Amino acid sequence: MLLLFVAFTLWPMVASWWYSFFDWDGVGPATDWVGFSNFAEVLQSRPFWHAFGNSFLFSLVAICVEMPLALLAAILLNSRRLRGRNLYRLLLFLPVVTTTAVIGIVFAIMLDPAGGFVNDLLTSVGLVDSPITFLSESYALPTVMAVDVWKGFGITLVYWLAALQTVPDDLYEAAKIDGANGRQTLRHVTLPVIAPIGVVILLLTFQKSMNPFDLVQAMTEGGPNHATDVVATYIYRYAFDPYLNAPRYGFACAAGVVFGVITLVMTALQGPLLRRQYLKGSR
Amino acid sequence: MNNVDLSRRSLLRLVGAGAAATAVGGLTSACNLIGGSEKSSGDKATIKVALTPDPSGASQFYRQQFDLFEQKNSGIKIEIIENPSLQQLNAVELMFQQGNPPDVFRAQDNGFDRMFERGWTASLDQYVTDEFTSRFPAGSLDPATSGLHRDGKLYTLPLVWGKWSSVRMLLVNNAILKQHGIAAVPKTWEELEQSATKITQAGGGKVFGFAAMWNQGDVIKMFQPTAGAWSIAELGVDLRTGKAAVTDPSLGRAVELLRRLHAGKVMMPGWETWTDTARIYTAFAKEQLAMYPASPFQVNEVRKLNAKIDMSIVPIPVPASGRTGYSGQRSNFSPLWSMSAQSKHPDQAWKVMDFLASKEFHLAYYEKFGTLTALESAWQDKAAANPDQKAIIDVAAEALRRGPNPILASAGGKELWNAITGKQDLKWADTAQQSILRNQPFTGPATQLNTKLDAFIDEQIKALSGKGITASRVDLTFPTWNPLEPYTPGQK
Amino acid sequence: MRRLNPWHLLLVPLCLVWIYPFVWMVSTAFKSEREVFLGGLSVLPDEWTFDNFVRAWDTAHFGAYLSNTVVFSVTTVIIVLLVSATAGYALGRGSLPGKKVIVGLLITTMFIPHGYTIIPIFKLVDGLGLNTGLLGAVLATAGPAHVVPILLFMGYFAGMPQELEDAARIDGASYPRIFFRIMLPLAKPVVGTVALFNFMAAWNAFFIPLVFTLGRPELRTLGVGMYSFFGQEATDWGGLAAAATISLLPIIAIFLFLQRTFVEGIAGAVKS
Repeated sequence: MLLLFVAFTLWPMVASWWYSFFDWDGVGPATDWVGFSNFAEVLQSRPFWHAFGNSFLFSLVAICVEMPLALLAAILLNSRRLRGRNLYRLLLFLPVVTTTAVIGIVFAIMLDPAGGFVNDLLTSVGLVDSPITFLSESYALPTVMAVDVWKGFGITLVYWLAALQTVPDDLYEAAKIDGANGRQTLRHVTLPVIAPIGVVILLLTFQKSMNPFDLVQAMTEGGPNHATDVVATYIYRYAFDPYLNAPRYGFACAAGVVFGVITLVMTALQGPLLRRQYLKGSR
Repeated sequence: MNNVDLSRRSLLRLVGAGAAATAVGGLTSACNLIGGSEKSSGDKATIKVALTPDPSGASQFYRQQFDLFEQKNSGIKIEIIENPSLQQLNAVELMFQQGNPPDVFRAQDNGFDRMFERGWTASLDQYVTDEFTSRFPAGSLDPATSGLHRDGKLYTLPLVWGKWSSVRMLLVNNAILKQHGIAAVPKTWEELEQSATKITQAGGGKVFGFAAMWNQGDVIKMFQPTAGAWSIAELGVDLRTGKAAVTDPSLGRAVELLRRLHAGKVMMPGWETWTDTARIYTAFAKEQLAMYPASPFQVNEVRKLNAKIDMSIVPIPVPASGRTGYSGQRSNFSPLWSMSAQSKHPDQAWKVMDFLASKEFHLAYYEKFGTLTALESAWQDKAAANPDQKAIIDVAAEALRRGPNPILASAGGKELWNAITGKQDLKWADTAQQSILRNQPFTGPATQLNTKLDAFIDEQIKALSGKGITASRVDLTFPTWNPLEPYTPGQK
Repeated sequence: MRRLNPWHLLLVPLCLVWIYPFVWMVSTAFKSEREVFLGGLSVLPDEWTFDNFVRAWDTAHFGAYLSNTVVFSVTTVIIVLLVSATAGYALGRGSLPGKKVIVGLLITTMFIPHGYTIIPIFKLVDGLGLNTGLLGAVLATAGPAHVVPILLFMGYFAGMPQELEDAARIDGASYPRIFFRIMLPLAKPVVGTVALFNFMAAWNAFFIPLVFTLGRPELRTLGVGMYSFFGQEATDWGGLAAAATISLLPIIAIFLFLQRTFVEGIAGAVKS
């Protein structure tokens, strides 16, 4: 077990640190030691910081919008009184399994400013005068973020549903006997009990949402004019694009390391807060 | 009731049978978890061919073709290894590293150079016969211009690429033009702008005059060469002087053209957001779009979607002041098929290579996919009878000229070319896109970029000499090149 | 007749809009190549065709790859479950020395962007000689996939009432017994979640199965086959939609099968 972890998780991480000091294309031995020049290039690259900012916005939206909404949906779909909840759960989960490339094309057709039905609807209702180009430089980022929330919602929902199972029935019953209403039960019974696993879910959502590569690539490829660029598409374009004459694996590693370290520091800053929440739950 | 029960039972039985079949397959797969030795195929030589199943239907096509080959060459068995297009290069590289390389593989364009530099490709000169050379147009296998030679030796063979991948043309919907009272297909940038504006304004949000795929500045790369040296858009460098030339008026004018069309809302809305080519040829096939610049394969796609569309296939318009350059063809062909230097059966592998460059294979490919392949002699007669294909051939003859190629000319030229194209932060296309989308002037940012690009080239030259590679501006300079004439390497 | 829950008024229309892209994908699988693009957004094909399915079956090599995919996915899920549940238990309940360090390390590895760590992994597996079977691919998939499940199990076990374990210990149950007989069954919701997500990931996995079966393409999985629809110049949307539709059926089945575990937690167990 430890071996698996060391071999397939720790070792690749350490190796990618090592490779980030080379000008290397990923094949054969890495010999061209360039010191910190890859790092210097990453740190000075404005497109990198722009992409980084966008990645961060993606996770902000996931944490502030997707997580609470999914929790509400989970509480609703956990209720035994709701008939058909199994079906609803499946339906809300379906976007997760829908092929990302297909999502790219469906939304492109739906949101098309020339005859797409969303725009037809908006103009016929009179909400807008002229069609909105949803994937244009000005609107692309919020549009892609919204689609990302839609697609990732089912995952967070399942996490929350599992978390809600830690709440023993008798606690609910006790709350009922005490005369607590729905909101009070949620605040004083449900939330405290699911807090430790909630902290884990927060971490997972943060980590997942920082790397929305497939969806961005399928919808905009980071454009137009880099408006939706995230770190993953940046690395891909700068280092692995098949049209490049030579992939820059060392540079990709450096960009990944910088990104990883900063997100880690950001997580660590939240650490004390998270730990308190976590410990409050686990006795 | 009974009926329902019965069908349910038979359904269950079907599911059971399916599960059993999967389970049996699963057992074999389970044994494969551990892995084992390779199967031997008797006294036949097995040739591994690593290719991509592209375009749609190519998977079956290659198998059929290789079956035909095996019938004629009973001593050879071909094992196909298919890789997804975008991963083909990575996959082949890993196969070599694993010590399990394919005998014949597809490595396209600069992907070939990645393989060649590692010494994985075999020289083919010893196999070339007069008959082989005669399949290609006369003189096109000259080592200096073929694009298939490295260090004077033949290393790779083409499939489709060459003229038929470099040429771009304007697709025009004649019916829409006629409806809007436009008598002639636009020949100049100005006519294009006027006609497009007229159509979009009268189109009422249903029909639009013009659109293009941005695709990292591709559309500019189509227009700019009619007004100047093509290398300015292609590389950002004027290959006559060896200097950065992002400030060249030909580039600026092409960007301004697009900027005006976008700001005036003449272009089909959303054009800047398109990443899938299907979006643009579908709009054209639906007759929502009057004109757009296209590459050859899209002509087929349009016809597939709308067989009856009344379209013209014409050269990209030129400035009203007259043509001052042509689109550049840097070599006669582009690499595609290569043979492994580590093949255990080189003679048999060559037979496969020879087959892949045979007239019968190219004809079959042309007939299956409607693509103009590298071996013109295989399909020339048939294409002449097909109006769309004839138009493509005519456009190529009119708008394309051979230009200098620093990559083939010298080692330093190749390194510099790769360094410049790999430097994402210094791409004029990003600057131009911003100027077009935000309706800001291009000249200011272009001047800044030009200075940076020149500085970057100087830096690279220094860095390369540090690594023992001689490189200088001379590697990027071809003083006798006239963009209005075809270029011959070494010309005075 | 029971009173209709007012929530349905919200949920029904919401879900219909919600799943529209999925429905479009399924319906596209039945459309002709022309209709995929010219037909736009209509959900019902004008002419139903099964051509896409036939082409998809061949192009993605379903016949050859299906059983590989099943073996690959199931093995991966089993390994991930076993390792992450025990590790999560040790970290969540026990007073393991250096616990904080381990958790910190786990969280650290979460933040290395994955994808390009494939090269070191490949070199390692190549060095170990695991590159000719699916086992290498399983290990390479299961290895990095552990972090999230371990944290989930850890969070879950940490939240469980202490009384349960105490009661079992008083009864004289051994440590493994407590784990397998009491704790693991109680962690069903997490087992279900982890199994579902890892099954999905393995089922769709593309890069690792591709890289690890280069020497023996007959061992590839469907995730690899699916990528054949993306050409250099054009994508075969009809074929992709058909293949996606077929390959999603098992995932949906697994979801339906496992979703019971999301609602059967320790809720009942505490009382008894």
